[in-house]
Amino acid sequence: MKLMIVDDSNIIRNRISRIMADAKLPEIEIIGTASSGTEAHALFQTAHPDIVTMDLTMPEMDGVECTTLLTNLDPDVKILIISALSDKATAIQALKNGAAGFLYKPFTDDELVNALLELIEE
Amino acid sequence: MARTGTPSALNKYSGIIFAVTLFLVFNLAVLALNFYTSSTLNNDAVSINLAGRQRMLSQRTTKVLLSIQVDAAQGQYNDKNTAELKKVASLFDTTLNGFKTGGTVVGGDEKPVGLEKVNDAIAVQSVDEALRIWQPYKKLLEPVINSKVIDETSLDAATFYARENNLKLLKLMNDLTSQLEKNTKAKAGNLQLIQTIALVLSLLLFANIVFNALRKLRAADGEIEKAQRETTEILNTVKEGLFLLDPQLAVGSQFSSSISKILQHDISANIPFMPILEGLVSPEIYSSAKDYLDLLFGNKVKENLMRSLNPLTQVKVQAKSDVAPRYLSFQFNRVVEEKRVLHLLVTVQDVTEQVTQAEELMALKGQSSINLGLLSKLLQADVFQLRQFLNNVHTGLEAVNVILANADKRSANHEDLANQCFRIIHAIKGEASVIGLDAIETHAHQFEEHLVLLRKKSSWDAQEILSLPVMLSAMLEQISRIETIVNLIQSHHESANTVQQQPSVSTRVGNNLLRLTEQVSKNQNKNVQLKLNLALLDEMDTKTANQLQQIGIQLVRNGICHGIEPTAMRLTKGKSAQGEISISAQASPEGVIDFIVRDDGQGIVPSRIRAAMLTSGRYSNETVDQLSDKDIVNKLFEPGFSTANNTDKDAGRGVGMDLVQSLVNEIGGELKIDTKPDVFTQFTFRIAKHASPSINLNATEAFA
Repeated sequence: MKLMIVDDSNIIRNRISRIMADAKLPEIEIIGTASSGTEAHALFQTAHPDIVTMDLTMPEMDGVECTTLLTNLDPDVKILIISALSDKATAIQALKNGAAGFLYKPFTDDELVNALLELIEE
Repeated sequence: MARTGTPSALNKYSGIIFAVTLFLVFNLAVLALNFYTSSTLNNDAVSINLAGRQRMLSQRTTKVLLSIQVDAAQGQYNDKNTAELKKVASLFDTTLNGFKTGGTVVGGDEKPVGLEKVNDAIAVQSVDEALRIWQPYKKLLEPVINSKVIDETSLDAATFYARENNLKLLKLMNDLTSQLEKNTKAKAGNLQLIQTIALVLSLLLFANIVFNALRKLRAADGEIEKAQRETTEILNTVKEGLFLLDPQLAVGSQFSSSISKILQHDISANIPFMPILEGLVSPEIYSSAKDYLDLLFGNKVKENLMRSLNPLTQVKVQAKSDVAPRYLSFQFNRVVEEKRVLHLLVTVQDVTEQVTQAEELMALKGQSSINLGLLSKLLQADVFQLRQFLNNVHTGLEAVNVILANADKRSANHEDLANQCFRIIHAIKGEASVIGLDAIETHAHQFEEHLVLLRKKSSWDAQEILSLPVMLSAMLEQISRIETIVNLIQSHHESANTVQQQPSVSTRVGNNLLRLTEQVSKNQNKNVQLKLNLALLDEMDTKTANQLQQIGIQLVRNGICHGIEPTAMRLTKGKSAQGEISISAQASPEGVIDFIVRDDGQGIVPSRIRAAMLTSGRYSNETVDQLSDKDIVNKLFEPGFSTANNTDKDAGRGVGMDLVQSLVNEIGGELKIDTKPDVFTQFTFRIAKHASPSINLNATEAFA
């Protein structure tokens, strides 16, 4: 399974990468990171990831918009929304637009790994 | 349902199934019995028939025999008669033996029929008797039958025997017939009886089956009704709103009666839910909720994840009929069958009370931290000082009480009364802030705020007058709580034998003023140093020393708030960054004591006060213009005069100088103000000689 990380914060991007490296999951391989919706869209078309972690609040194109775009390109892509607790309404929007799961910020290492594994199992 | 239903249905109907089986077996048995009886009856009919024929045969035998004799008398021989005799005698013989032993005999239609031997005692007797008569008869007949010619001897013997026994034989055969008929009748009667009983029994059994079935049916119906009634009862009594929502987002037929009240909307089956929600919540929440419900019915996202996304937990609602906003918590549970969400079970609770309580709890938490703060201050403060403070507060509040008692008199000058209260409360506030009892300071401040409102009014209504004692008693209560704590601390100190050395009056007053300076300059964001020279206070009586402390408190506060400039301004004026306030008690050359409070601030400048009076908005242009410079300075001592823009704990009430003036009057003496713009302000209180008889003049001379 190829994973793409989408987040405008490099701290979060690095954190997710580090968690995945620590978790040593043979079934998940990070194929790239994107710092905006536009970048994610471009990377998606070349790298064809199976799973995406998606931040909701990003400049230019937000997570909901990006989720809609990616699921239109590939209805089977599994997108994990990563959002703040106050973003309930936006998270619902993203799920409605094709996201498969979501995770509240702040999250622990285990929470992220479990959320991704659950996504794959489905 | 179907899988688990079968065995229980078998169980449920086992009674009926058993009864029906019994009914069938019973009927089969009756049928078999019937069949058997009717077949024996058939046999009986044969027997009766043959018994009847025996009567005929006995007579025929005799008749043929007599015919042969008549023929013989005429010398004739008819072998036809002999043949007939042979036939009827043989038939009679085989039939009679048949009755005795059973066997096959020739029937009425010349065909062989089975004949059962007789069992009945009477019939057996008849047959035996008949055989006894018949056997010799038969022997006598044989020569007659076998002779091809007339044999008169044999014929006479047979005829003689026949005449003797014919009637007996007939009677016996008659008896047999009657007996057999009687038996058969009895059997038929039995059969009828059995049939009647069987009919009655099967009717009873049938009735039992029908009755049981009906009873079971009624019981089952009753259970269904009971279950329905219980469901209704539950739905009628639960406090929570419960209802089912179908995929079209319409309310199902089962819902709790409380739901209408909770949603403030009449709920009926199949009513669309979304318009109701729309009337309750904000458009943002509504649109989120709509998407959320779609996702729930979509059944893609897991239920526990969905739960954390629920936008309708503790949602603020206000229906048209609601006076105040309420808080509702909606909970959605999927009712899933074969991976399809058939319904959502919706639970709605009015959580307004919980939310309010939570808010109150938060407020209480704040309050308890204040109380903790108070406690730690009390533990740090010196007990002696606390006692004195509490005494002062008691005295002050009692005085306020007396003043308030006069407030409802018509003649009372309310403004004056308010000012008097104000001075006392203000003094308490000052002392409280000096000791660091923030809670009391805050309380006194609130009291003051209330008095400010009253001072502005020309007359007080009953409500306003009543509100003051309420505040007063609240303060007294607080004080008594503190007293309890202080007593505890003191008894603890005493038991631990750690009674603190009572500090000298000058040290105590000095420390208080230092603390006040630190606090007020921090509040005012100013940098101030306090210099003290109060040794003389140790030689005064406590009352005067305390009054002087009060004056010191007010003047130091004023000095920091109004005198000392902010650091930046001081630097532009070429002054040191740190302001300085000095308080001293000095013996004057005239032999009296001067209590001097001096600050190196901006001084009292009439023009500045005029400007401040105008910008404060409390005084008109004309008022300000009419006042001379001296009037302006005197204004400082009027109750309620203030130039501060904002009222805070430290300044702005216009009470400080008023309090100083009244203290000066109480002690007795003169108050002098010296000031130079941008350089200093000095208040010199020359205490009148008679005011303090305890002053040691010799000592003051020594200090001078």
